[in-house]
Amino acid sequence: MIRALLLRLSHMVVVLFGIVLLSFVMIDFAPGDFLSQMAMNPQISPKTIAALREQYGLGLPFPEQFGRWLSALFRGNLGYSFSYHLPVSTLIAQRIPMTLLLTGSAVLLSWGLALPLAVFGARRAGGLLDRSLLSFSYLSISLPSFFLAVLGLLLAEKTGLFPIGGARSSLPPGAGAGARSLDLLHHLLLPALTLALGSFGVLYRLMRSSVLEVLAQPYLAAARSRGLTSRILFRRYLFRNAINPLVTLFGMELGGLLSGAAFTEMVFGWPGMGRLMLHAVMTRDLYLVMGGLLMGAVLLLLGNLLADGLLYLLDPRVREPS
Amino acid sequence: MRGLRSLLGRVGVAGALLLLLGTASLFAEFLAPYRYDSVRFDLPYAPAVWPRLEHGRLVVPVLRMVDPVHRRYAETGSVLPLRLFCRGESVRMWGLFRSSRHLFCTPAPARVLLLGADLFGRDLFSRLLYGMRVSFLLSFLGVMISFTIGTLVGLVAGYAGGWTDRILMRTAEVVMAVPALYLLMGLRSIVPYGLSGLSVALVITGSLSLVGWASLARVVRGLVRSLVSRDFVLAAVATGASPARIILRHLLPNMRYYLLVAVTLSIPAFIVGEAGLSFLGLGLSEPRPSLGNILAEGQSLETMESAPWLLAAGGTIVLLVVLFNRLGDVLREAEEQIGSGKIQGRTDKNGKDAKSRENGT
Amino acid sequence: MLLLASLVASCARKDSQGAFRVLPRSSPLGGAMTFDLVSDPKTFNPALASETTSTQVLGYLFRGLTRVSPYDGIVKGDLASRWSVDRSGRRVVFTLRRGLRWSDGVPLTAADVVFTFNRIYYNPAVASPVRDVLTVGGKPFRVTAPDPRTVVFETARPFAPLLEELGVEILPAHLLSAAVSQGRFNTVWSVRTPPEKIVGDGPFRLERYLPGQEIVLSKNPLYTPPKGLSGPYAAPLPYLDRLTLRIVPNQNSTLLRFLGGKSDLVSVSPAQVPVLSDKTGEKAFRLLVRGPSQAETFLTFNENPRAPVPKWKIAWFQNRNFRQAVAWAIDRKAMVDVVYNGLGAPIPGPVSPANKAFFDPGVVRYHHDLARSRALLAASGFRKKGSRLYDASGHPVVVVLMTNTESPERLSLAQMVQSMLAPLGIRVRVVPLQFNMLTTLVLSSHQWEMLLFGLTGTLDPHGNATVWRSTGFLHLWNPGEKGPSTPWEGEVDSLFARGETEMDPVRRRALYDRWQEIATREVPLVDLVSPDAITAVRTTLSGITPTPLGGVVPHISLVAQTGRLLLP
Repeated sequence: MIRALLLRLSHMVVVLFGIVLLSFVMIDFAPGDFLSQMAMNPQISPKTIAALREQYGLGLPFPEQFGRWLSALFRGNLGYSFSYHLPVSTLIAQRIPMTLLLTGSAVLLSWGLALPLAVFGARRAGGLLDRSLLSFSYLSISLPSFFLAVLGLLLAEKTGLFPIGGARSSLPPGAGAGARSLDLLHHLLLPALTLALGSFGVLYRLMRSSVLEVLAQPYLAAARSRGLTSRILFRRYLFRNAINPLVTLFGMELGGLLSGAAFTEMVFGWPGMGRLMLHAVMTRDLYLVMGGLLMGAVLLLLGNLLADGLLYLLDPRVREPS
Repeated sequence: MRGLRSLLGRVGVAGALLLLLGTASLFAEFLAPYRYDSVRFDLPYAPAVWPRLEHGRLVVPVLRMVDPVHRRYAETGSVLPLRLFCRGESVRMWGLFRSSRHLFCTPAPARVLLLGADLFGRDLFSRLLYGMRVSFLLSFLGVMISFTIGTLVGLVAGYAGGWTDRILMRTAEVVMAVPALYLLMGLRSIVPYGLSGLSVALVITGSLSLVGWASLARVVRGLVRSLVSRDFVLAAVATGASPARIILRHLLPNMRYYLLVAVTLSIPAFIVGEAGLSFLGLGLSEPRPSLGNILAEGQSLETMESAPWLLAAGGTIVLLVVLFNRLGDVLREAEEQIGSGKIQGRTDKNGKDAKSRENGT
Repeated sequence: MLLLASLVASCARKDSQGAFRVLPRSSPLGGAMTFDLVSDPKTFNPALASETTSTQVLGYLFRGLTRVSPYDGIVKGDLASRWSVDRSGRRVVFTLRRGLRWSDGVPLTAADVVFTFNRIYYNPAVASPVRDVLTVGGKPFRVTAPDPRTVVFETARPFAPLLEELGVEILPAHLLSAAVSQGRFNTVWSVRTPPEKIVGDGPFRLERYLPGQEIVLSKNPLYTPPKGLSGPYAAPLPYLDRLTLRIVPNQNSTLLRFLGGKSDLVSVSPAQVPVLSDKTGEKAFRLLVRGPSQAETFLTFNENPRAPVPKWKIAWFQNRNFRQAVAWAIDRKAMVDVVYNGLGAPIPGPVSPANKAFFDPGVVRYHHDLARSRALLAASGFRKKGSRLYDASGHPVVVVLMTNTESPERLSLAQMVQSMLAPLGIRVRVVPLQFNMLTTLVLSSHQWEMLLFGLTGTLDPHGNATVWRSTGFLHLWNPGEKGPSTPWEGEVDSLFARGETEMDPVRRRALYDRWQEIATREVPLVDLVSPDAITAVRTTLSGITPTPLGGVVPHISLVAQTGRLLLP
């Protein structure tokens, strides 16, 4: 067990290196860099741009540039952002709490709602609840997240029940911690809901079909004929077997926690990482992109590890015969 | 027997509708009154113009823009006849031969706009027909490629285990973690800029499915891991069945529900994802329509106010999603009915149970 | 689907119960104004700021020696109270106003000006993007301070745009000289610097910055307004106590926040006007249309013989008749109607008509005239067979038109160009590319044919030199020339060289008139259309006036909040 874990962790380092190298190559491959946006400014001469390129270390040949970044990384330095003139780690650390708050609550909402509802709906497949949830999930599957967010904002403006974007209002300076967290929750509600809505549909459909598939298995009938109560049946067989594909998906979901909500963050003006990364990608802020990418990749790999571990625990059959 | 007949009847509803939409988009050149790039700069965001009955014949009123700021239009009072099976704009049917026959058309300056016009005065109805075709084509191709790769990799990794599994899964992780955006931007720089039509569409599909297979492979692998130690697989191994036979005969059928649902779920993802690519200049470039890029135009506040009909593209996507999902459900039931004997020890009772449960869906 | 339909319907419907009421404030002084920024500022260091969000914010915190009047483009004093130019035109002596102080109370003197230029702007170790405009013929100005209120600028040769360029921000020597000596200047005053550490001389100072959320600026009590600036109320400027800038990266959200009463001022694109125009009473705001904006949007052609583009295509682009034929084929009115909801105007030439000091009414004005286009093409041996055009040697005329994806309006214009050139038989393929990729293709690998692009001009025509001089680095159609390759480029070169040193306004204007006539006759850039600049402003704000050259706020100090909103 410990050996397997260690082996897996050592693979993770190799995979991370692969990811980082591949991304660096591709960023380098696409024409242009951070400074090319200045090139169309009539006030800035190519000489100045060349000098800046020198300063930023962008003119170096690829292996040297990559080597420098990597060796800095080993010393715990993620490099500097060109556009903010700040260490990448500072920028990312600044954004992580808010982003995790949003994506975390959205994941909790969508998974917390979709799984139980799907089990419930599948056992009474064709019932009113199942049918309405299904039609709802069709809608959620087919609408892009950007559009859902715009609709959410429109709702806020029309009803006046929610703040229109942002993460906090200008509270009086004397406001206590209670008032401030309430205010934050009020701002969080709508973006988290729209984000959760987007993934609810897929989860509901997948979980529902998994449950249906398990329900059709012969061993369930056998168990039932042995007189097991439906609660034990559910705990012991149904949930454990139906959740298999979802566990794998859950692991991957962790990888999207940091920058998966870029469009929602943009529309709602939520001060998160997704927005920062999208902007960094668009402006080719190399080290900021690489820093964010690295964090996302680590989370994804950890998520996958977690998922494989969970599968192992939930479903003994997954274990390899040794 | 009665069950089978009613089943066929129900494949009919979702299936027939899909077939209808597919055929309609296949014959877009004939059914659409205008070419997808037929512009009318005097009719930006013009509302729907329907033919009406006047003195016993169908006529189409001529519109005039009275307020460019608010895009308001008035009828000039003159009308032109609507003709059926007429000669209108010349198009290349399937890119093969010229034809100018349309189901219906009307001479300029009148313009039939069943669903209204877009920013350039192009007929939304015609563009939806053409766009549906492209979206059908791209999503089918994309789903096919990514599912073939994904399922294959997942099956092999899950069945073989050991180092094969490790290497394949770690590769999938690399693909998943490298942002698709950069993959596409890198790709953009090697695709020649003058490329058009089908070749661009192929590049898009290829690039989308190049990224899409990895997550599926991981899920399939997880499913296979849980199946390989089950009795029926162990039994098959014991009887000396070849790995290919075990994979195809015993593993694949047991995860077909999941795959079926996943397919029906990823079709809309491909349709919508294509629109996102247009932002990078990698998508289907205008003036060629796709459901994705029509919807992308419609989802800002301004267009929701002045041309809400562009959201019809969103409506079409929703409709397709519903139809595909229904079709998936119905196919599953059909298989349960027909194949209940073939698949590992499924009793009739269970098959019926599942069927009766599904009836209402 | 129901939810969707009802939302859309409610968006389109005009609801009357949501009307705002305006309550007058007891005094118009004090109070706050709120508006939205599209992105975070990237730095609070004015010498390093290179994009518009940072420069906009820093404009409230820092000032320069001079400022440009938004009404007529005339240069006025800001930190400087007066100046004199000597007979040679190479030496300008500025006198600073009395009693200038930094927001930390330290006096602002000529030493700060000398420090800012010599140690920061002209320091090769500082990543400052403004260095280039502060040189003439590649040489920096000589900046000296004979006494604490006098600064002397000496230039290598007479430099007409000098006064306008000296609007650049001045920085405090007492706080920054240590950082410059230690080589730390490039990371000083970043967005992580505590707000109280950033010391300026503008009407406001930084109070709070929450990344991704808001910037709060508060009144600088030590601010003194420039000479001749006064408002209707007898109180020290600025009237406002506070400016709140919310960071809202999405246009839909910005508009909805304004409609929800969360901001006081928003700039509006023509396509958004229908959303706003029938709500002015209900939501208590005015829509101010300032006329065509300054930005120049144009089509240009690759005339560079060294470019990796087929030789025959370069030959079309070098042919004046071809370029003019394209210029005559563009229906600019349709462009304004379709892309800008009728709120815009054709651009007549490289100088905007709003820039009265330099616009030449005698330029060639192109309008939609296909007969002329056909005649010009025929005169150069182009022949139309069927629906397609062929050049004299039989090559079909097919071109790739590139533009950047970030601007949906440019993309729409490019598509309209495609349709408008179709009747001539010219096949156009529109290729939208991301900005950074496009710039690299155009400026480095020259792998382009036609380009639809925009550049922001400066008021002084000399700002166009980098584009129009044959050796200029933004001489888009043929970059990297050693010298003029056509006689007209030679003439333009000499006009710009003379314009730079000509100190007499009348003779200077004549030089630039001649340039505008050549530019519109040779059309290396086919000018298209520009949208009206439109701003929506809450009725409670006073001190708001549309100006032809600036925005709707002639000077931020004069804005006052006369009422407050009562939201329903």
